[in-house]
Amino acid sequence: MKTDSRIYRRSLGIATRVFLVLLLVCPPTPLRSDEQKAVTSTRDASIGQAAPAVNNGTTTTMSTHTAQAANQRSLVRFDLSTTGLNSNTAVKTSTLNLVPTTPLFLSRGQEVHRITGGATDWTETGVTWNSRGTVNWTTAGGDFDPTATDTQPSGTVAGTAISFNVRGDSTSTNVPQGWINGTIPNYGLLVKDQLEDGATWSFVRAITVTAGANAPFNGYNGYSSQITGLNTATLITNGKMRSDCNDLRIARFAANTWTQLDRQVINCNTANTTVWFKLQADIAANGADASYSLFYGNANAPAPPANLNNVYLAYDNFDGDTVGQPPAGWTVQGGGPWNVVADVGANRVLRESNATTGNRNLIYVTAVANERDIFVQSDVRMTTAAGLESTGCPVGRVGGTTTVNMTAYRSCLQFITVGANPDQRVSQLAYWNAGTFNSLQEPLYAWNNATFYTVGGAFFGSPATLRTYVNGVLQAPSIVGDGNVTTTGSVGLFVYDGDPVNYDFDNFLARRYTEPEPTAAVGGESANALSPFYGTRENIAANQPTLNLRYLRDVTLSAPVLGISEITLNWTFPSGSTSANYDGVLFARTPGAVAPTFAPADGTVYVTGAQPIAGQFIAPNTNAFATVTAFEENGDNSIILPSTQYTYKAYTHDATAIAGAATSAAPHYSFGNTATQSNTTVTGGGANKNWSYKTSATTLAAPALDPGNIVVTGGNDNTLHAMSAVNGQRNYQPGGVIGVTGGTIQGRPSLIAASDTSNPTCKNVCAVAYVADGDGTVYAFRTDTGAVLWQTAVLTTGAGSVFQAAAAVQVKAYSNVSYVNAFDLVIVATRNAGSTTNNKIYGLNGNTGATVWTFSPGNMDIVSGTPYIDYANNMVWVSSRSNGGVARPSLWKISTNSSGAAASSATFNLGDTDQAPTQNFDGRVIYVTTNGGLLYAVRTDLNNCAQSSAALGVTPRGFPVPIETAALNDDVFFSTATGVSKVHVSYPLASCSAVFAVSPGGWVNPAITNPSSLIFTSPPQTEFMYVGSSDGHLYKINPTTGANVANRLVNAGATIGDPSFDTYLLKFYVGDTAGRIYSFDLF
Amino acid sequence: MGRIRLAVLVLVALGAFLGVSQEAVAQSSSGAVKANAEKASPSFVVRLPKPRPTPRGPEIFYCETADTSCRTTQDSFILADLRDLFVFVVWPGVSGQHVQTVQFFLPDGSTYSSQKTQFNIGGGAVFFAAMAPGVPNVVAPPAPAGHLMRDANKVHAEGISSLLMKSRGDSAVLTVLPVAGTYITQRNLSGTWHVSVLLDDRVAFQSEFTLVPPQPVTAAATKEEVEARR
Repeated sequence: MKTDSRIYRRSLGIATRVFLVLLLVCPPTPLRSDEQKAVTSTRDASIGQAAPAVNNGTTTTMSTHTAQAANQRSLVRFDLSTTGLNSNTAVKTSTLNLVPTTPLFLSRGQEVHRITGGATDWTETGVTWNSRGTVNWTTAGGDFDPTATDTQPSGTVAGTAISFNVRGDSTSTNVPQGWINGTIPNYGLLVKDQLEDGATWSFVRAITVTAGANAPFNGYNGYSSQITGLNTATLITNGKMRSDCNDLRIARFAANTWTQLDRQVINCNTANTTVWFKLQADIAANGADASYSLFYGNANAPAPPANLNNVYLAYDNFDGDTVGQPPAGWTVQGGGPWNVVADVGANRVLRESNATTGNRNLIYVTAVANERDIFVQSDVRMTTAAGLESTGCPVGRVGGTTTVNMTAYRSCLQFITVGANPDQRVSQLAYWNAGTFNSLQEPLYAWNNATFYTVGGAFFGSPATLRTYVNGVLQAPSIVGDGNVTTTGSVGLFVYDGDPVNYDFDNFLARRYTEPEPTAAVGGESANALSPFYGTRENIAANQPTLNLRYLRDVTLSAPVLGISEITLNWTFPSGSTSANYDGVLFARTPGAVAPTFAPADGTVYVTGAQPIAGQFIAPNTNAFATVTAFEENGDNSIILPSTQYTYKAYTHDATAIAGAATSAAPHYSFGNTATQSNTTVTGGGANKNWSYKTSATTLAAPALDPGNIVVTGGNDNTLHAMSAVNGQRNYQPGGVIGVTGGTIQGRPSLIAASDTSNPTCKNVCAVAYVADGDGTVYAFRTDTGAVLWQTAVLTTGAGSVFQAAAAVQVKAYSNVSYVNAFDLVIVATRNAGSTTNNKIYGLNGNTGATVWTFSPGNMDIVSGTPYIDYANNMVWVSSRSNGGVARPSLWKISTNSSGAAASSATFNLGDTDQAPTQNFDGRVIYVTTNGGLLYAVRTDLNNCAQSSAALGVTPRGFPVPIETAALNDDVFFSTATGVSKVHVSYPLASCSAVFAVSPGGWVNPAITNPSSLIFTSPPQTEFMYVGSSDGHLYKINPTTGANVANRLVNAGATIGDPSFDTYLLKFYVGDTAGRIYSFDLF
Repeated sequence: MGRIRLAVLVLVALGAFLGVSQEAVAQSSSGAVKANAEKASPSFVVRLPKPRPTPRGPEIFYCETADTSCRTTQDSFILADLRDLFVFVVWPGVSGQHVQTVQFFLPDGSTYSSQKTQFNIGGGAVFFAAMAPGVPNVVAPPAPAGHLMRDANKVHAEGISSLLMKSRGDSAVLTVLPVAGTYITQRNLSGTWHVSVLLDDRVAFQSEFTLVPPQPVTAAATKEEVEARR
């Protein structure tokens, strides 16, 4: 376990360090969120319905207001002509930002409209409710589009901008674009209350709270302050306040935010109304706080906040508590039971009903724990029994945990013997200090049994001043300078139950207390409910109205680099932009001189090769601001032909969402109108390629040809590509099932011209390409459309098995009369994974794909070389591996006329052979090179005749190429790991006794790095040999001397594949590891 | 080494934060156990939280055989001796229908081939569910037809039975790279190959392996072969 732990911790440490390194190496990707510009307003004004001819354009603020016949609206305009933005700027959205000075204490909806009207703009110093300044509005209050561009809450926070989306209304989906383009007159914007004609607080009065010299313990934050003597009766009579005072509100404005406070209104609709509220901040001794305001005058005001627990330290009338148990939020310290009980009507009270006399019973408010200066009050109801003491009290500074160690001051009603006078009714002040009890004063008070009295006690200062009140009347004398209880504590209720009946309490209240108490002075009445914003004349620029535009501009295209089958586009991003603004550039392309009309849709990603509009292609689409060049070339997803003009349009795009835009999701695009460019590719030929075609993966097999017409190549990209032999233009765009296979195509497709094929669909219509691929199936494709003519089931055995060797086709049209099939025969051989014995050879009907025969000897290893068809004898020769030895055959001869389960005509144990066999000119010899470095001559006209050269000391590659030098004499050429070998073979007519001569006639093996298979030009051309190399070249070799006489650089750094030669156009075609197919002139 | 590096990276990406939080959990659990033990009666049973399995990332290993028991760190192979390279990608904790793509890059950086395999693993948590990208609107050329993709769940009666295997209890998807007799040997495409593994078209990790070029055939060696035949 210790070891595990160490490993874990070490791994964790390593992981953490590497993670931190990654953080350093890989900084966060910046957001690429288009371009933004904040335009500051150039003029603004408020217009008021109550003074419809008064101009307010020169103030530093502007306001909205809702009141019957006294609405106010704000007008603001932004001059976009100074931004430098023009109609080629793609505006995605704009946001009006208004900073409130002192907002409403309750948020209201405010909406923004585009100002409309005739040809006359409004003027800042002339505009009024009635007039634009020079001419009247068509409609008083301003002409504006009826559809708000946005509605936002006013909020209750000053200094924080409110953002309104300004984009579309009833006549335009993009107002700021219209302003910039000049298609929409820019008269600015109008801001108004969402519900005009009065539905908010009309009046406000400032409240100034002034503290005295003696701050209470815990300060004034949380102190319950009261407004006294407020004449709500007059306000109600004058129609300024609701008769239930429910529109009377207390709010505090601090930290730029309005906070509405809970309040208690006592004696509403009288000349002496009291309003309680809790202070929200401390006040220095003898200091004042004027951050509170009193609002009223809203007939539609909702229910006010009036939670008395937020007005006082604690309040409980027990009406909401559960009967039969202690009230919620209270803790029984001793005695009891303390239970809530039903009283008169719906009223509930807290009752102590201990049946045993002489007990102390105490309950306190759980949430109050650390108060020293306190006023506690409760309604108390008791009954008496002669000779028995009864006491009911609110208490403060409650401490201790039991009745014997309790600490508190109490203010009580009491029934007790005073001196020699029994059964006296008094009020009382007393204390416990750690359980020790003392009464401090007991003035007589003639209270009645079974009657509620409001008993209050003030305990404040240290040493304490103690006062007791009954029904609001101070019971003299008070106690001053008492030091018996100096600790802080809770508040609660106490009972000493002499008469074991009931002690009832109601309307308990506790608040912080000091003397003198702070005063709350109410200022004069003023109109309220303006929602003022900072205006254009505000001296703090950050507070001025702004219109924030988000937009994309076009790149500037610079000179391209023009190639033969490729174009390199270059550009610069808009001046002043950074990687925070743009994610890249999307290009569209059309052939010819006319720019694409395609307009990319925001929120849509376009992939190279797509045609969103017929004939208009998606060209490169970059995704980095650092990328300022793009390379595109001819291929399956792009058509770039030599000597051809193309016109591009470039659209910048971002990578982040834009809230409020028509399409918020990224990417967003520029218009591209100023980023168009016509380019004409150059002409190839000579030492340069004629054209090239890019596939998606390595393609090294020799391209198949319909000379002068079609070049067909398969590749490791699981695709059959067909292109024009003249300029490389694709015959079709692969995709779906068009030209697509399920595995890599490593061999040269067998291409049968339309005139030669037996396939009834394509006969004299289209060439047919047969492909055996990496998914173990065989396909027949039309090369004009890429459509699948047929596909076999999986013919290989086991998962992961493939066809490596190309399909060979015996074409009916070329076959002799002994060929019995009525169709072209497609012959394929498997390369099964995980076995050296279960490979098979199939003969397939070229018209349908049906299996004609199967050769399954049970000891065949993998086949990599393309089968060779001996047309003269209707035989197919297949080379294979033989599990690393010579105990099994590795060259197989099978009749193409077989059917069903085919048998071999002959087999030869030559050793592992990956190279394909080849037949010589007179047809008497099949040549094949083994992996071990031997050249075999196998006679077709003699039984069981296979003779080998001596050990050549080379590793053969590709298939051998025999060139007849004289009757019964061949020069056999083949590539090796390091160059090209030549062996002369002479063979007697009737005996199996071939003679091999290595490097005859002064031949010197040319050194070629990792050479391809060989190809020869044939008469009437001068006979030369051509071979590709891993050094990027195609080499021309003199077949007599081996001299390397010329070369073409095809692709530096790439391995060049097996070449093909078009005898009609006299062009070479060759692929490479980078996945390109090239055309070169004969050289 | 390539395999080791990718494992570290995956651990870093997935385990850095999880590892810390697990340690914190372990420490707090340990503390709780101790506190309870001090005050608990002898019969008090402390239930430890079940250990959370450590999330593991995908892993790749290369073999010369199609058997997952070959799972080692070997990433270098003699080209002349290699018939097929069996590439196993282990997906701990992955379940459901997914598409694995193994991209092979030649030492010169060119794309040699890209092999997609769909597989379906039942049960277990979906490890990569959180990585699933949002699908934006895309206008693209048509993708290859789905039925042309390899199906790892397909069971073959002969040969290698399936591309979906088990390795040390985890599901592994096999990709076969034919080597012998292909252009890899014919054109000596030796050197360090790079491999990218994608799950559902998102790169999961990268790796590499090395194909060591063959020694030149000598005449003597060939002579031995000839003589062996006689």
